[in-house]
Order: sequence, then structure tokens, then C-alpha cells
Amino acid sequence: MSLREYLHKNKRIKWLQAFFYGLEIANRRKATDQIDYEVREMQHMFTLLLFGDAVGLPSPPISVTMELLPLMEGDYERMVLRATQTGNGLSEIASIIGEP
Amino acid sequence: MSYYQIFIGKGGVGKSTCSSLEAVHCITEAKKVFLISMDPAHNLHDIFASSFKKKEKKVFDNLYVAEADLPGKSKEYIKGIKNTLLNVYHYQQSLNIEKYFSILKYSPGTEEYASLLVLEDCYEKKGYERIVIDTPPTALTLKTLALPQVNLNWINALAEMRVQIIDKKNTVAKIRKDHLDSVDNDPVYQRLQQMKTRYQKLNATLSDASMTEFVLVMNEDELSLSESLLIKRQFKELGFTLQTIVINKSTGNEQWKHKIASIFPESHILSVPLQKESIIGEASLKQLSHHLTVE
Repeated sequence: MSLREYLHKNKRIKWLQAFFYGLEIANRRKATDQIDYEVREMQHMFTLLLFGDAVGLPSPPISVTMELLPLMEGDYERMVLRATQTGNGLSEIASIIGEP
Repeated sequence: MSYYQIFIGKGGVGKSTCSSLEAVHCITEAKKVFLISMDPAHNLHDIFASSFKKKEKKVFDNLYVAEADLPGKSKEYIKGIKNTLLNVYHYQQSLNIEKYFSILKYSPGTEEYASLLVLEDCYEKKGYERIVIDTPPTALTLKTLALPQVNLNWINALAEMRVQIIDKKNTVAKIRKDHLDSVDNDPVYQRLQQMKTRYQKLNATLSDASMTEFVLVMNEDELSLSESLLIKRQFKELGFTLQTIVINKSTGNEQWKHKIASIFPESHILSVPLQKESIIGEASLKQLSHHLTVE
């Protein structure tokens, strides 16, 4: 086999490899999307449990929440964003579950 | 190591008087005695006919007295947290979080936490052989004493939730071949563990009968008895024991003595007889302090 032929073949192999790798990544993501969504929701729940008094929910003693608040900067921001950006929670779940 | 005596009871039964008598009684046995009032409506300055502040002051012999500044402690606590938060949330105006912080001072629970901080300060005091603590009336005291356990319940539940979140995150990361997370890298989980250690230590000291003695003060009347029963019930739930009962303003009525002894069979019963005049000043306290001797 000449060098030219070999490179040509190798390029194809590389292309095939990349294709299947992409396919694998996509499948791995698709398989975990629901769990990932659940994790994010659990994080929101955690923040809501701690700072629920901001929306009128009972919350842990102030001595617990006050000590954790400085560490929850990002989580608090995410919860506020989530609360403002979510239009319809049910449709959001359906879009994740409903995917083939 | 110091030995702590916490005086509890219904408002007006004479907790401040009895704790003062106990402190005076201890000065002969202990090298250094510290008496502190945690009641926002302090009485010790009247009893000792002196003026006290949050810093201890020597009254006579080896007795030191202080009146804790509870509102000050709560303000100090809120201010400290607020300053930390203002440093952390430098962009907080956009989320309007600062407004949320400033209303925290009206939050229920601030008072008992301030009171718990004062109690914690007492437990960290060094150099005193005996520390006598005069508490506010029942409701606040019970809430304060229950706070470490209430907080521990929350902390355990929150820590468990944090572990679940990280576990689930790792499940996803394993499949996606991302890097794995660990609770050791989670600052929230780490802080929860620190808080857990602190409250567990405090709760253990409160429950340890060889370090902390709870003294229940009551009078010979139905109202104070029924509140004492409530305290007994709550103490059982919290796992604390009432080692000593002091019947203040006792008329010597045997019937009452038997009744109280049958309700509190495991406690020492002491009585301070009803005085014609108020117990005020060194002489009067020294004269009556022998009533608090456990036989």
C-alpha cells in the first residue's frame, strides 16, 4: 500500500472514530438528562428548604440558615433565576421525559 | 473543669434569689464562683445592691457577677453576619438581598440564639470552679436549651440531602465520563459538619450530669407546680435531668413537700423558707445561703 493510500484510509478511520465517539457522547448525555434535571431540582429544593422564608415557607432556625447563607451565593442566584424563568414546570418535565 | 448550675422555673418564683443564694453558698467551697443572669429583665443588681454589666464584677469574697446583654448579643450577631454577607454579595443590589438581611433582626429565633450564644460563652469561661446561671422564664429557656437539638436535626437532614445530591451528580458524571465530585470539596457540607460538631459538643455538656446541674425553682402553688411539670416533661424529651428542686418561699407545709417529692422522686428537694423581708444584700444572702446545702 502506498503512503497516499494509507493516509486516505486512515482519514476515513479517524472520521468514523469521531462519528461513533460523537454518537456515544450524545447517547450518554441523553441517557443521563433526566437524572441531571433531577440533580438540579434537588439543588433548588435544598436552597428553597434553607431560604424558604423568603417566599413564606417554614425554614430552619435562623442560626442554621445565617451560617450557610454566605456559602450559598451561587445556589441562591440560581434559585431566583429558576423562579423567574420557569414558565411551565410540567411542560419542562415532559420535554425531557418525552424525548425518544 | 467548671461545674455549671442552671436555675430554671416559672417567672417570679425566685430564680434570681435562689441562684444568688447558691452562688453565695458556693463561695466557701469553690475557689472562684461566677454568677450570671441571662434574663433580659435582670434582678441581680437589686439583690446584690450593686450595678452590673456584661463583664463580670467582683462583689465580695471570690464571687463574680455579670448580667448578660441579650439584646446586645443579638445585635452583635446580626451585625457580624450582615458584614460578612455584604462582603460576599458585592453585587447584591441587583438581587435586592440586602433588604432581606436587614429584616432578619425581626426573625423569630434570634432571641433564643442570642441566649444560646451567652450560654456557650459561659461554657467557654475559664478560671471559675463554679458557674451559676440564672435563666429567663421557662418559655425562652426551654427554647434555648432545645435549640442545639433542633439545629442538629436540621443539620443532619440537610447534610444527608447534600450527600444525595453529590451521589446523584456523580452517577451522571460517571456515565458522561466527567470528573467526580466529593463531599470533601463541598463547602456547604463541610460547614454543616462544623456546625454539627459544635452543637453536639454543647448538647453533650448540657446532658452530662457530672458537668451541668439543672435546678428547678418552684413555689408552693398550683401554677408553679403545673409549669414545673411542663418543664419535667420537656426535659425528659430533651434527655436532661432535673437534679435539684428548690421550693422557694416555703411555708414548711409537709403536704406540699410530699407532693413535690412524689412528683420528682429522683431529685434532691431543698427549701428556702418564706422571709418577712426581701433577700437583699451580702449579709442577708450569707445568712440564708445554708438552705441550699444538699444533705
